[in-house]
Amino acid sequence: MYSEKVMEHFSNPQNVGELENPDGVGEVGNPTCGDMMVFHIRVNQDTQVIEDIRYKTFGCGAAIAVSSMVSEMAKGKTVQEALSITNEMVADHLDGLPPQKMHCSNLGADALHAAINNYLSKKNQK
Amino acid sequence: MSYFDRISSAPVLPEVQNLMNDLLKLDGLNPHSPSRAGSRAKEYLETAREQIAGLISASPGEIIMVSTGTESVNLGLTGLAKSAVRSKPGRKIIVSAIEHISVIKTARALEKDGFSVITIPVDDKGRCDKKAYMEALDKDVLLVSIQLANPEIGTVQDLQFFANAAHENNTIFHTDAIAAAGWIHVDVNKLGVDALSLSGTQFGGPPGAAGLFVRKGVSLMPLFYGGIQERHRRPGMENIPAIAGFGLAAEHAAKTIEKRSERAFRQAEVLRGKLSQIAEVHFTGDAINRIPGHVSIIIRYVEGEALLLMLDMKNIQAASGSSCTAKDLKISPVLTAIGSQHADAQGSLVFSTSEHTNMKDIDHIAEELPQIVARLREMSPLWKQQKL
Repeated sequence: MYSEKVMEHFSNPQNVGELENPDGVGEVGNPTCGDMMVFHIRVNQDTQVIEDIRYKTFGCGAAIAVSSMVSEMAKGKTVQEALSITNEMVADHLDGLPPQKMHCSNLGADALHAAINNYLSKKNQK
Repeated sequence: MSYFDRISSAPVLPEVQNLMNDLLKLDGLNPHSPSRAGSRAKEYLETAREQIAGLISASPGEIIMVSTGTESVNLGLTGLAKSAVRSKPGRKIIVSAIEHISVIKTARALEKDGFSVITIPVDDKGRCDKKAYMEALDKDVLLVSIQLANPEIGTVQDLQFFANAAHENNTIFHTDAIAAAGWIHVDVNKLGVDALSLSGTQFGGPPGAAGLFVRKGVSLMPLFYGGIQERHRRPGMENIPAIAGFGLAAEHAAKTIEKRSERAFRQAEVLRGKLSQIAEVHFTGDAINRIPGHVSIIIRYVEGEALLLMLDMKNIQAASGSSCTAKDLKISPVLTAIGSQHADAQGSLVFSTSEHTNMKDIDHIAEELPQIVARLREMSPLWKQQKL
């Protein structure tokens, strides 16, 4: 059902965890629907580069693989660059997802954007 | 592979495989041909009918051969309802809230044809509400379909009660016995049912053959038309290799049922004991009246499809009612009907032993599952919230 890439990220997910005092936190989904992701980011204030990214995910194989892939794609990018990552791009990097998983589990970019927006709004308040 | 998904499909028995291989090599297996090959095919067909009837204490003439359990249910419900409506005034059909999807969808299709469907709720163990049933069972009820046992939570119903009450009301009673037949004693006369669906895939038969028992004298409309097979009730050329395999599996099941069931009960008990050591695990279904070798659980704060994938990596095959494992992405209606919270139901797992299961397989689960659960919980934001 899943591509080799999905299974690779599912069986060995990268960047799982949380950050202490993260600069931005983004949460999407809920367990009732099946998938929930919480992303933490650390941003270099001078360069605006995402230096560290962690997540926790409740969900199916696709949700876990998507979280892992997004974290890899965003790490080392500036927040502006990371905002251009889309759910479709994540699915492409995973060599595709089953159609029924595209809408429910492919929430990684949304969670990343939520974390970035959280960071930006905190920054603007300062 | 430690195979714990008999409820989806049990491994095909080696003697069934051999028989089918032999039959597939024969020419002219058409039981309606006057040739010698035709006579031989007819013999295989009628032997299988006797073997299948023997498993459920029916007469061979009361068994209709069909292709799958789903077809059996469709033919049973639709054929009985459409026939009964010709001689009776009412148009009501009663089903339980935890029927297999084939029963639920057939009932919905009958609604579009002008029947009305009443769904009887179940309690938290999956037992049908007898009071609600008795209140619903009025003179307009033509047909009742209540399953003998539930494949997802293992609960076995007090079917005699429901069938007797239906008969006192002059109502036809069908049961989906697919998850139960071959593993618990099924006697159509003791149960008092008019029609019963069963499939050999639960006890070592091949895919492609299943059966519908219809009591002599009960009228049934076919689902489709075109041939004389199965006395016009199921037209279409018989799949003789699969039917013969189904028959042989039924005979084997009847001969070995006590030994297998006892063993399966014991294995399930051991497995339950081991799984109960994982934190936040809940067992679903009736603890006493249940299918032998069936263990159904909910593991909170993790998701079923991820569990299945990780179990598969460790060569363990099981099943789940999580929404992520369903193509329609909906939580199993059975888990909803027994009152499980949606978030909890995501972590459902079903283990069903087969004839080949041994204690090594049980130990294999007991060793791997706690580690898999710990790994997924470590990844789960819900587990952390729960611990706070």
